[in-house]
Amino acid sequence: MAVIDTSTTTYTGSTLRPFLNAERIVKRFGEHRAIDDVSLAVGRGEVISVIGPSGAGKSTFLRCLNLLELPDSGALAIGNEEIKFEEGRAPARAQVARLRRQAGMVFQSFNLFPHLTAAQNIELAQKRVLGRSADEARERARSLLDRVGLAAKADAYPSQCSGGQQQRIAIARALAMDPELMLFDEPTSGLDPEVGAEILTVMRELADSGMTMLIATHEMEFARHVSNRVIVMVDGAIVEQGQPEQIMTEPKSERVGRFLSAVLGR
Amino acid sequence: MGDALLAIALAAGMTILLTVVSGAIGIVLGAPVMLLSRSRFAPLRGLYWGFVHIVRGVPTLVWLFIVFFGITQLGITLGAVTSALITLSVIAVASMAEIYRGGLNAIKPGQWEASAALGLGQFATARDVLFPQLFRAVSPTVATYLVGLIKESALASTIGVAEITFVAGLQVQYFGEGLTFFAFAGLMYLALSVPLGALSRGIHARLTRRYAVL
Repeated sequence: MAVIDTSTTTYTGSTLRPFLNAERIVKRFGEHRAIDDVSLAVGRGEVISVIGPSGAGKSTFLRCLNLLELPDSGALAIGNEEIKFEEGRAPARAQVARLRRQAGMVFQSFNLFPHLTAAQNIELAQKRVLGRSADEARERARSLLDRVGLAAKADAYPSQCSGGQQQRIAIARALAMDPELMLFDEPTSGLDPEVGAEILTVMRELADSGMTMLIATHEMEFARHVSNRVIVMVDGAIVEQGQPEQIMTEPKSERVGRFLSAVLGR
Repeated sequence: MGDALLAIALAAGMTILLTVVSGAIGIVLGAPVMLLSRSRFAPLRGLYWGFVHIVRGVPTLVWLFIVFFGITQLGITLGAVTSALITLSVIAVASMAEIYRGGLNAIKPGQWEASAALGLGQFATARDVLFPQLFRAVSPTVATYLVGLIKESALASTIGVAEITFVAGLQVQYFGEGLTFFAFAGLMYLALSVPLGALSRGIHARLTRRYAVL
């Protein structure tokens, strides 16, 4: 297996100062290094697909970026907020909150609040976190539901919605917080391919609107056509990254080639 | 005879008072107390375990005697009704906290993650996400506990609180006919607990009709 130096990850995004900068992130679960010294810089408006075999650490890495998993070491800067991680020392809650404020997260299992309607799901954090009025929050919820094509489902409970509808509601819920960055953790993995396509359509529109996006995904076609950078993770490390077309057609490392030929069926 | 039965029936008011007050206090205060068990701070978690085990590890009857007779030694005199209310309420708080803690298993980890990712604070997460789902999940268990509480309130008769059992006992002392009066007392308890069970099933069905919590 080719050894690739990931400590000097090249920054291929825009020439501006990166909006997100993760430096030498390490996350251990017991003895296992789930994220092994990963660095990544993301420019505003970049759409990055994170691909790789199951268990490679894609989800864990994304979860480290909004601190659902607390890294053991390394540093993370999003916007003007920066946190250095040290083992056994939890960052201040207020700082965690400020960092999370900038990133919206969409989960594989949707994680909608089952006791609230679609609209209420989208309104809750607007009111509690951003301090928006009930009217303002409702107005925003309606317009976002409209944007993801679910205006008619405003008063439906999650259990009355299909998986694809639930995921679109979850995307609207995250967008309602006006995040600068959206993290997608395998958003279509729990869905039928056909249903997944409607999620990908929403995500493509979001990408076209200039949203900065990081997407852990197995959707190679989406990675190829919508993202402007593809990152390949294996065993908790970034083994290769670059233009989608280049990664897909002429991967540098043998390991990445093997992974791609398996998923692309070549 | 008719008057004696009427007296027992009227004593149901005291049984209801004991049950409703201590049940309500348990349902409300049990929630924040349960949160102690999830605290980041070990001393608070220790406090929770100490409270729950001590309160629930001692028979209700013994607590009643400690509160009613024991506290007098400290120079504080509590009436029988007050003693019974305090005892049953504190036990209800500990019991409800444990019921809520068990109900947490019904809430998927993704609910906390979604709340955190949205930036909801601990308080908002507990109030707007956790408890509404928790109450729905545990409502049948709570109903069972409340039915148990109706029956447990009979223990207050031992310190002279004029509830159903106590008043029935008085009638037996005056008139004899133990079977008649205590059987009537039993009917009174049934008249309270059977509708409560039905009511709670109705509430649970309403709460969960539109969505599946579990």
